[in-house]
Amino acid sequence: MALLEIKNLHASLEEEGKEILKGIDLTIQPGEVHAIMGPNGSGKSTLSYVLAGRDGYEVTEGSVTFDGKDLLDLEADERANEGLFLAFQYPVEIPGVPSMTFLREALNSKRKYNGQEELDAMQFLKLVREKAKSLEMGDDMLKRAVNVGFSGGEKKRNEILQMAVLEPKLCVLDETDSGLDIDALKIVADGVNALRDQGRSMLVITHYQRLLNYIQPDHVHVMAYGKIQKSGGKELALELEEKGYADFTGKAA
Amino acid sequence: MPNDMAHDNPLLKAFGAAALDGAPEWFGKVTEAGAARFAELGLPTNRTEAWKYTSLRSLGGVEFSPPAKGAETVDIPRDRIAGIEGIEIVLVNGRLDESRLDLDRLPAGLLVTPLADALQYKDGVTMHALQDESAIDGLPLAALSTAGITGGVLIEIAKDADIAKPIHIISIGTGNTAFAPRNVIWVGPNAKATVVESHVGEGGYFSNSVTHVTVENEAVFHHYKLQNESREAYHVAMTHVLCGEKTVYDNFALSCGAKLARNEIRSKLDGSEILYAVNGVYMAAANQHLDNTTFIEHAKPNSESREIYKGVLDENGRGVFQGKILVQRPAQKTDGYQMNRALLLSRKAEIDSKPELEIYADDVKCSHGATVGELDAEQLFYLKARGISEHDARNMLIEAYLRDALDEIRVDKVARAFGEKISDWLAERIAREDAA
Repeated sequence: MALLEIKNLHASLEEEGKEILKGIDLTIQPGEVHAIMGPNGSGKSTLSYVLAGRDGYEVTEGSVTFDGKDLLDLEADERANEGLFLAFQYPVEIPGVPSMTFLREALNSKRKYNGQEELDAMQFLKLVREKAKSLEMGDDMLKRAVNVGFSGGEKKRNEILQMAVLEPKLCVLDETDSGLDIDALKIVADGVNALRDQGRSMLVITHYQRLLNYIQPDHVHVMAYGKIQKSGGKELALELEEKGYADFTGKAA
Repeated sequence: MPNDMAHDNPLLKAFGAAALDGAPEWFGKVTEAGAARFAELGLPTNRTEAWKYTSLRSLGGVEFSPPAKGAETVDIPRDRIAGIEGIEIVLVNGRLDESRLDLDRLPAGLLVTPLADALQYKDGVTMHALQDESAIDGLPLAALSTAGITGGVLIEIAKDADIAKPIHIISIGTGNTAFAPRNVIWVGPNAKATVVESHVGEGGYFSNSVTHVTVENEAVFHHYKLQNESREAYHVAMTHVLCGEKTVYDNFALSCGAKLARNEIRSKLDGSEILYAVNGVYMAAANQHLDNTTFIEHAKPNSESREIYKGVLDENGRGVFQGKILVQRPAQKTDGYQMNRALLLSRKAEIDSKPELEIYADDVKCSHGATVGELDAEQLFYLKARGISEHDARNMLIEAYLRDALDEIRVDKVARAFGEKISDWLAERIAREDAA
């Protein structure tokens, strides 16, 4: 059974009524890594928000099935607890909320949702330290308030650490490479690769091909005008790198 | 509204009937002057500039009774007051409960005198404070309070004394009593002390207090207040603060009780190199009106004042913030900062903010600001996208917003105790939501 099945998905901005997604079809099997590439304004980020359940978008047509469930029927927190993880393009700073409290609350919400026992502070600390170590990250970030005063690289690393702790079935990486220099990009990509396994799928959304040098996709899709215009293997990414998005937008990107 | 009818005001009668027994003649004149001033000023309504957002018109129609002649002894509601281990001074309906006051066991350097006794000292701190007419000039409620002072204490910290244990003044109100506590605090030169006030009770009473604080040169005084009155009660409090050279004065007020409350602090920074702070948190829910009004006068050069208030207004709760900084001509190099932040949790909630600067010196650094907002939608979505429910996410953000303010409290155990009250308030809010 496919992990994610998007069929003819149409979505609009609630306030303006402007249609952004104009019929997306996408199927992801367990363990697969898919990349969606596309020019700015193609609807890539909207797709990630609609999947994660952000307010402000209205699905007007189509369906999304996640692990056998109707995803669109679930609240954002329920989607997360079902195993969908959105790594934010711009992780949000939350002053006054300690990272540890936040992450423990997140993990325990998921455990509770899935009928598992919640972890106490000590058990949680141990788990987080192990995860941080396996990603070769320090846990110093966790001593601060969520993302407050973090550099761009730290924020993205923090997303990966959260991903490692929450062990999602599907990771949606929204422009994870934006704002990162090559060293930070490599650290983040290494983290993502460490989390790749047969049961976990990834949807990597990016404007540039360079991230895909580090995270090798099984499938690449080109998105423009709110639709997937072309799908192929990783060679498609290289092709785009060479030719740009001109074939899909009618102008050079 | 000056008029002769004001002398017949039922409020004045309720307060006037409470006069202390055995007081000397000069004290009688003080209370008479208070009554006369109140009669002249009348009960403030929105037409009085200083009370524009907090009308007391409704108070005129409420019937209050004076407190019993002698002090009553009631149980202290431990879960409502600040949870700190301190030297306790208990007032019940504005009367000092002397049976709970163990004067023999006070630490060296701390002197506590029942107000009735302190009135007997000629030329003392108490007499000086009570006879100061500027303490009631243009201040109708302070005048009303003066007309019927019900009791209180004189707290004196000797020169150079360092009183580590907080002095905890617990005011308990009952029934429909109107009462007027009067505490006089004198912190001697180079002394250090902490006073915590807890205001609690049961019923629709009216607490109308005046506190005089004098901080002598180079003294450090921490002054914290928990206003956790009954939700039917009225609470009006005036604190007059006078700071000398190189003093540190640090005030924090946590307001969450009462139907209508006004916490007013008027301070004169009468020295240089003073570090002065008034901060607070207010949390209003259904049918509550919480007013914080401050006036800071910089009279001498080179002093610093900081003011940060944070409010959360839920349901149809209403908040008022009025802050004025006055910098006199000699007060060059004054550094003043003032900020009020309010978080509205409901469409029916309301905040009125009025920051004011009045500056006569030409070399000063003063700024003020006010913000009003709702919970941040981006932050909420981020938390929800990590599996945290809307309900829990909202409460996490409210708690973070409020707890952040506790950093302003310089005494850790008080910060912790006040943090518990914030948690209690949030737990009540969560219970309310769950029940809805």
